[in-house]
Amino acid sequence: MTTITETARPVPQPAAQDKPAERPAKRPKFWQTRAFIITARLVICAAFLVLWEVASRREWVDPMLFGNPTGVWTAMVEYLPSERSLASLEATGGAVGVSFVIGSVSGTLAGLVLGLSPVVNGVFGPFLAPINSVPRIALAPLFIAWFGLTMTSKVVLAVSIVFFILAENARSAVWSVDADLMTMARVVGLKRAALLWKVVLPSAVPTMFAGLRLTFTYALLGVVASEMVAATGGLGQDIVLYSSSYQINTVFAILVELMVIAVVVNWIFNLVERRLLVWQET
Amino acid sequence: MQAATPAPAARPAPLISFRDVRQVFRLSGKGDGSAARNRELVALQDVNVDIQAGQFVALVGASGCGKTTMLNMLAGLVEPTHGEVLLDGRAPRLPNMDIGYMFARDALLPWRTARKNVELPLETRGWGRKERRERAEEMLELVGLKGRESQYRLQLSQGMRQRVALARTLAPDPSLLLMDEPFAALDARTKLTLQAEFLRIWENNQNGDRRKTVIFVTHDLQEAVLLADRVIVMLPHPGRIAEDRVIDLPRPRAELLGELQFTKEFQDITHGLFERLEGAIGDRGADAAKQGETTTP
Repeated sequence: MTTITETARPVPQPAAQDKPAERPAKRPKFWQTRAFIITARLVICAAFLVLWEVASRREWVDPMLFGNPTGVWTAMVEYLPSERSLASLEATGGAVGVSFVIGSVSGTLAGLVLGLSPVVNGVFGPFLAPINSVPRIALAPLFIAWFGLTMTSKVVLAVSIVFFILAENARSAVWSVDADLMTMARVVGLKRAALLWKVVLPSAVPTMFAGLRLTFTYALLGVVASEMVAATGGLGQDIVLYSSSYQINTVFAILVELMVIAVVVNWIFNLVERRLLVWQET
Repeated sequence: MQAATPAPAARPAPLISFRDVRQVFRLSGKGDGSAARNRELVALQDVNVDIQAGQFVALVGASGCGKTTMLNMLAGLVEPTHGEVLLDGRAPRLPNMDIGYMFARDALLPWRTARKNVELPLETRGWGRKERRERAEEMLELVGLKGRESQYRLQLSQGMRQRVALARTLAPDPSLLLMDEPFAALDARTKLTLQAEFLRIWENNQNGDRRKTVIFVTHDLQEAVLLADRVIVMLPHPGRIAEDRVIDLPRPRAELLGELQFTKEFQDITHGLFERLEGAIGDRGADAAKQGETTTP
């Protein structure tokens, strides 16, 4: 940590060389070390699982309703590789993927147009907030009535959430482009497409990435919610079935599965983001 | 052309003319009482200036005296409310590929490397990829940034960012440079270094048989006298010209900047202009401030 690296700012050099050598960096207290923090996390997780297990075995809580970690583990081993589970995963995953792509592309495009054109924004802008404030889950029965027990119903619900988030996101990203950069670009001679491509879009990328990350979570939410209301298959449908038949451990197994999916996707986002936004690092 | 204009003297037509320029900005008060609505700010009043090609002119004045507005008029960003601005005999239009505009804030694109930033104005001028690259590297070397070509804005110090901005401004070799307090954000030492470097580049650069025309906006009187051939002192509220003075310090000055500041000549000039700049603020400043902002019913 104390190595001298090439830094951009001119580092004030010590005036004389006969000064005492730099003091070694202060050693962190043991509770500030990374090892301690990681250990603490693990201990808390383990303690929670043990407490849950014990509470369930001793029947401090009803094991029928609360399950227990070993039961969840067994359920995972049995359920996750089963044909039914894989079919559900495929149904849910497919719908999430499709709605994520449709929702983010259309939402971003709409947001860019709204941001760039005062006329379009004047006409359509005011609708955005009211429509976006409708609790979308409440629309699930409508969509199911219109499109039947199909993937379309799920996708439409998820897209109806994702689209508005990204539209607002992209619009504010366009609006917040640095005024100095825009003036510079105009003086330099950038116009229309070139201005959009070389200045507006690149400066919108960080904000849009934050939106996209959120979007995936919402696409998952929309699809699972739609499946819970009514569907022929999917993880949401499984959750409803297993909980209504009191197979709580399997419900937890599915929840864990959903969590793992979300974490993995988030991790992929991080990788892509770091690639794309190298310039944000000092 | 020649038939239309009677020749009073053997003077070449000026590159830049401001004729009776008056600029009024309407400030829209945002819901803070009725009086604040429709306030008008007179940014420039009765401005008449001619500038010859190849001249280094400094516009000095406190903030609010309309100096940046004059630059923006030349760049074609602002049209005068009254009067006319002529650049090469015509009203300035945006974009003008023969202009380089340098801002107080670097205005570098943070997602582009130093080199790609310098290439930007070359892209709009249709240079090929290879020529752009070579030119950008040459310019970065000229401003002392060799080896920093592939760094991003965040990795560069304030001074280096202004150097990149300078390289970007100079890269397409424009014949008119508009500089809006380009060194104002720098610490004193970096500022002096960059002033000297800029002056060296400018003094050595022969654009045809003359140097580039420079309009240099600053609030620093010393800087103005040190760099320019001619200093125009401006006063605020309403923005107007108070003094227009030719500085006949020797050229080239780039190597002398450090010492020049302590010569009697320099100090006499600066002192004279200082009284013009600050003296007015003492007695007439308060009244003028009231005149500058008028309320329309």
